[in-house]
Amino acid sequence: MEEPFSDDTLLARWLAGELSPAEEQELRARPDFAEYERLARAATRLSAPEYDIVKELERLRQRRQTVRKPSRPRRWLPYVAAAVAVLLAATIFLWPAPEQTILAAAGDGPRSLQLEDGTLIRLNAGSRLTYRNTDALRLARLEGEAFFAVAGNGQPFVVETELGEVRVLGTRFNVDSRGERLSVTCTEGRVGVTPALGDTTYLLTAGAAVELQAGRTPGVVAADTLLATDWLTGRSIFRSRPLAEVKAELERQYNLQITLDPGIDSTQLLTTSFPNQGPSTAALEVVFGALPDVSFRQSGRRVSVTTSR
Amino acid sequence: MAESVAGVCAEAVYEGLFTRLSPALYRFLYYRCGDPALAADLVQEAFLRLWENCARVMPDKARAYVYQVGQNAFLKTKARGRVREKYRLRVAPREATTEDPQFTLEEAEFAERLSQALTALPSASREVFLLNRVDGLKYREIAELLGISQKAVEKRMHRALVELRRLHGEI
Repeated sequence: MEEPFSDDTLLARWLAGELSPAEEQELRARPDFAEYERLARAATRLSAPEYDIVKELERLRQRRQTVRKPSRPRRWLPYVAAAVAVLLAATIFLWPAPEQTILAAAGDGPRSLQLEDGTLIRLNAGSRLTYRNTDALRLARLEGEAFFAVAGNGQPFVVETELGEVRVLGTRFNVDSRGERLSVTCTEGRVGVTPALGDTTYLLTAGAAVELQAGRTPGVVAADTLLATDWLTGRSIFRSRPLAEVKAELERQYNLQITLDPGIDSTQLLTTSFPNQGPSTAALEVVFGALPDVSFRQSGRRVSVTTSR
Repeated sequence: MAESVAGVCAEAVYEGLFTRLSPALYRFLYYRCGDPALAADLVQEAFLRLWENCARVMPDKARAYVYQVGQNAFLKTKARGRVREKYRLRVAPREATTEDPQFTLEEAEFAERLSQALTALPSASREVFLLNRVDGLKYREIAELLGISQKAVEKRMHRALVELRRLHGEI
């Protein structure tokens, strides 16, 4: 009734799209192939019981107050606990009004927001978000960068940006809308991205990204989700990005004004990463210290970068 | 500017990690234990341990850390006999929505039978199958999380499909 398989990883590699043409042919010729195909597809529609991340985060906060961090001296504990409580009160917003704008100022670090439907938003430094709940949809207008964990309630969640809109089909995703570039990365579930010019919708599944840039044809690519959500872990990570982009992120994270000497090529590609917290000098040192023949001087918020040749 | 803090001790970093990692970790543990309340508790356990050791864990190592602690905590719970044996894993099809018109009633019924077949699958195969199909993890990533070879993951995946087809036909 059932033919044996020539290889005990065949179906696994078929799903990963890694079969040789001969193997593919062998598999497709099997009478039971259609059933495997249908099972594999049906499985993607399954989901585990709902996880209430908002409730769980709250529970964690309360339990965390009771654990002692061995790395901290004991006499600081009451102060630490108090500071944590104040920080939490200051960084988590509940959104009562029908429309509100939240700003994460440059140098202030990311801010956490929670919508009344349970949606969690983390807004990166130097970003602005306006949110409105109409009857038909939940509408967020974003300038800058934010990560969304959207609570599904049947009402579509739409993020508008200058270059296009992102329509959520129930899920988690990162939107980076800065300058001439819109980059959307889906880390869970599915989202649709529609450029402001044009009517194609790019459908992203988990692990996929689309980048819209003036003068370039957009395309859906495999995403480095870790890289796209780097800032959630408190670091900014760059892989072959122009110096100008790295400089702009330094300015946003630390609220600096950085002037580059005209002799420095701001289009040169850098692979680097810097912390988003701590002394700004450390971050500046990481970026500019690695460039040959370049030095920087900092006075207050102003930083000038010069060639030392 | 906030003072510099080691590892993941900064509030924003720590909570960012929780927001990013906890739902997937929850599902990972749920696929293993089949009990949603226990899976949520294990996630709490893992993140409390991360907080206690925050100075020693760098952000890029946090994921591996909480998965490891979560798995160990589950094994401990199991050794103490605190896992409710009667609990049966339930991975149900999502409701059909207008956003997914291809998901017809017939498809939903098919998926429901698949969900039943999954409970009869050996847990090692089931875990791999769900992590790949539902969570979209690559075999390499699953291998890292489970601490086994990618080849072993592929074998479990293959076996899962063969078994599922058999079980699905019987339901």
